[in-house]
Amino acid sequence: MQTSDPDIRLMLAFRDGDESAFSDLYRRWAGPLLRYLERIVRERATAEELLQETFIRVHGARNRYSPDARFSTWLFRIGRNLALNELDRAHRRMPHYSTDAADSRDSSRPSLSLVSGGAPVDAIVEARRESDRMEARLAELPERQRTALWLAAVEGHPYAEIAEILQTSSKSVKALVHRARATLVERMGDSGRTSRPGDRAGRAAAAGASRSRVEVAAHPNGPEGSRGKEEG
Amino acid sequence: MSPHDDSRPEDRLDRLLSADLDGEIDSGDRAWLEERLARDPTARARLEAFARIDTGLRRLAEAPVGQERLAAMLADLHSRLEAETVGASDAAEKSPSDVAPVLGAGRFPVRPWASALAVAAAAAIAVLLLLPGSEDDSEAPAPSLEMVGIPADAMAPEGPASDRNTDAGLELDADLEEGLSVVLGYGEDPYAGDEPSIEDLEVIEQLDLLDFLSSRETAGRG
Repeated sequence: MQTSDPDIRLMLAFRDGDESAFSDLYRRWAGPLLRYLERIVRERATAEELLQETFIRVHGARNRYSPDARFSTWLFRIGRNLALNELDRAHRRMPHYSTDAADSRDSSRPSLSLVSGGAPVDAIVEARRESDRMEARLAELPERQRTALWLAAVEGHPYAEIAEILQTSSKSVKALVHRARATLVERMGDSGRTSRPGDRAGRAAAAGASRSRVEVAAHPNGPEGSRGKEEG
Repeated sequence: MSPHDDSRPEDRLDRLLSADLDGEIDSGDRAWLEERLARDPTARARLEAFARIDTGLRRLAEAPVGQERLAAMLADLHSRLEAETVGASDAAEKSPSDVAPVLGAGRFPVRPWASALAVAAAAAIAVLLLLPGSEDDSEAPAPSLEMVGIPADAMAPEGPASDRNTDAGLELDADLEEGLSVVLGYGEDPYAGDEPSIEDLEVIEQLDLLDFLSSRETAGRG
């Protein structure tokens, strides 16, 4: 692993006694790790506590740190393991957990459109509802699918790194991600199989989200956004 | 079905579209996908649907984690690291593998007495396996006790034969009984004076039942 990687440089500096490097690592990675942990435990307070515990483990393990892998891979693996342990403890404390909670919360929430006075507020409310639905559907996915999809689609981790975090193969990660996407598409009621191919909104979404080279080739008006990374 | 069993054309399309969105598609698959997207509007619609999912996920990530909040948490972290001296450092020295999730934990709630009962059952089986053998076998150390975290010297010593509740008419049961008596420490009980646990009482009841059944069997033969 190259020491040109800023995270590895910081971790090595921290290992050699530079405490400020630890703070820099925290500032770089606390946000993404907290977002991920929230997706796993679904509670901000618990996620924050797990974030702190993860960095405490990193702090304690500094003397044995070896730059064999990316720092983020190591960090997310520690965080995930702690989160799964926490879920186990929570499961024992609370034997039944209903994934319908989010839906009931949605239905009980008063319609803000009744008090909204203009289109911008409506748009915000609608976006909020869509995000709530997405969050609920995401939470219904099996944990490994959720982790794989989140780290790939949101955090931009390569499949190989996600495979290290999940302790599986890149091929399995590819399968986990595609199953997660397909499931979410179905559950969000947007299979794409029946929508109109020329749908402008859909194409705009594809253009904004895709890092695909193929999409660019197939749609000359699309953006250039590939990460330029290939497998095999 | 294996993870890559593309038994349905839609499965292969989904897998390649997904990999393509993540920039993880190889050149051979890309050629196939390009050809498919060029001629199939449904495939393009599917790609757009996948992309909308990604857009929605990224919106979730836009919920701000305030810099002030992170700064406060960092300050709190430093305070904790400073406060936790020796004890904290011991805990923190654990490697990432030390925090690996406990497989299966939580799926089957563990009752507090279950481990003790499991140890007793394992020891009884071990004793049963050892008893019919030679003297060498009987002197062999009890297997697996160390593995379950019970030091061998913590086991109760075997008591004198006269103290054992044996029954000549039921040799196998007697063996079982002897094994259990070793586990329960009927002989020289290092915990003499302690109240028997519920598990002890349950096993004792089973032994009493064996006695009862054997006496009925003897009476029936008589």
